[in-house]
Amino acid sequence: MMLARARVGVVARHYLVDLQLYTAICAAVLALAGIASVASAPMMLGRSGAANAAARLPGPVAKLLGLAVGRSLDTGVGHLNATFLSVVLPIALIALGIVGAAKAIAGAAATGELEMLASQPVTRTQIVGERLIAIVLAQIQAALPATIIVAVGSHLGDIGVGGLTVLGGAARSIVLAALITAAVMMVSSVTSKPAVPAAIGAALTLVVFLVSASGASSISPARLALTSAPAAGGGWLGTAAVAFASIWITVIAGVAFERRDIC
Amino acid sequence: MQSVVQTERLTKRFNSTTAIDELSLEIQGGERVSVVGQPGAGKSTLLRILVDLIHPSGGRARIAGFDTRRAAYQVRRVTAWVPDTVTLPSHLTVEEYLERSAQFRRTDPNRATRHHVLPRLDIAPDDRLGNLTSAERHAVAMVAAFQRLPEVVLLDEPLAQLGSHDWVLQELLEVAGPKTTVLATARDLGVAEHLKGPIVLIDRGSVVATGSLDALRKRARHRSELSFSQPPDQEWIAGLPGVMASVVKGTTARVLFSGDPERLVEAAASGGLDKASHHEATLNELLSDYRKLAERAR
Repeated sequence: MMLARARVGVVARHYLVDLQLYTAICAAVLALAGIASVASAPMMLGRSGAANAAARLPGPVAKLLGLAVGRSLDTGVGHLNATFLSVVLPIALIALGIVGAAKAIAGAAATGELEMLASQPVTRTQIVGERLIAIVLAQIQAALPATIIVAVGSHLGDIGVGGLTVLGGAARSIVLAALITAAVMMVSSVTSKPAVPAAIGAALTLVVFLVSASGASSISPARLALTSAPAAGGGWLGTAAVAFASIWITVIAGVAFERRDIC
Repeated sequence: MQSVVQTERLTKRFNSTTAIDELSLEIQGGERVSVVGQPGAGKSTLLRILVDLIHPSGGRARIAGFDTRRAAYQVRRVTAWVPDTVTLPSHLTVEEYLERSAQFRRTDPNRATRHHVLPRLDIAPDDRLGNLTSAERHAVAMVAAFQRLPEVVLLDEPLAQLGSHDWVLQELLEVAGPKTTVLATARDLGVAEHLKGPIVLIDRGSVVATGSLDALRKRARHRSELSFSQPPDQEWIAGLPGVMASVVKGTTARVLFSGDPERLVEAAASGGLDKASHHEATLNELLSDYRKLAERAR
């Protein structure tokens, strides 16, 4: 019997289209935040007031904002970290990831669309994996305009942060968002109530950032992925570890989804 | 002929409820089978197991030789399933949805399928799925299933959802051709008239009878009212072919019988029969009869 081969990437392509609205909203919010970050730079850079304000910040908050030693608000790196790269960008991308992952399986199960998709010639692992890839692609799409705005603005406005550094910071935000998205996808794979993975994702994000700001920050994925970024002077090892963890969590999500009844 | 759909002692339990109970079934290639039963009989669960949406608790099922658990992906390559309640992405147009559905395979879909059905329903390719009625959405889902030229089509209560558009089923069956195996569920015997194939009566997750509609009806009990010119003899009535119970009141005899009604009428004619009216067994009566027979056989 001659069988047609299944097409890889179809599920991802379809889901990327389904996420268009959320992607556009996220991209617009980030673009505005990027413009605000670049536009406010002249008021902060080299100003003693900014340096003093940063010095007065509580330690955990300074840590959360990527204002490590020597990276005060009056420096270009410190300013971009605090106003865009350390919190705003990752949180927006994580929010997009949570919505996308909660809808991907649990949301689709709640509406009945999942059974229609799962009866198509695709494997369940393919559904989980490709939908996660679609979300990550949506996160890249959402981050790209703002990253370009900040990189170009940094160059034109003499902020003193190179385009590649900004790009690296954005890439690390996407990696962190992918980790939380994978975790939400895992929960989404075993339930038909989208509110459950969404709530767990929000709680997980809060915990990750709180741990990042605490004394135990070295174990936080946010610390590993973000504050070790070039914008904060760190290397790529932590980011690679977070990316690796995301892949494993996705595999577990695929196995969990494979075992589940869809009814 | 080779079995295309085969289940062996298939069982599905949901906690303490047994939805499918050691169900064994064999459907040959090209057959159009109606699986008929009351709500909760296990019809939808059976179809969902066949496309591996639900995993069986015991036994196994095969489609086109592929085990539905071990080779679920291959099963879905040759099978199209349309559920009883169709949920389609409301933001897509009809054309976008049908193209999406077709993109899961590398082979080109049979786009002619769309032209057989959609214009007659006044559905335009750029209509949003969210703006269609549930019957129209069901028709679109059925077109999506048939355009993929599957070997096996599984339809869950198609007539109940299509409503007055029941011709859609007939049209798509004609387009599909004689090689396509069709398994459709229903709560009544109407679907059997469309499929014109064997019927599987299912009750409490088990097959209670199989056969053509006529054969099932002949084997089941019927009620008949026989009017005579003179009061008939009770014993003579009880001895008529197939009569299982009878009550005589005046010139009228009410009988419960199984078998061919024409044979009964012919036999009764010798006793001065004036008029005979038959009441064909309803689905409930058929199921009740065959359930009792199955229980006795166990």
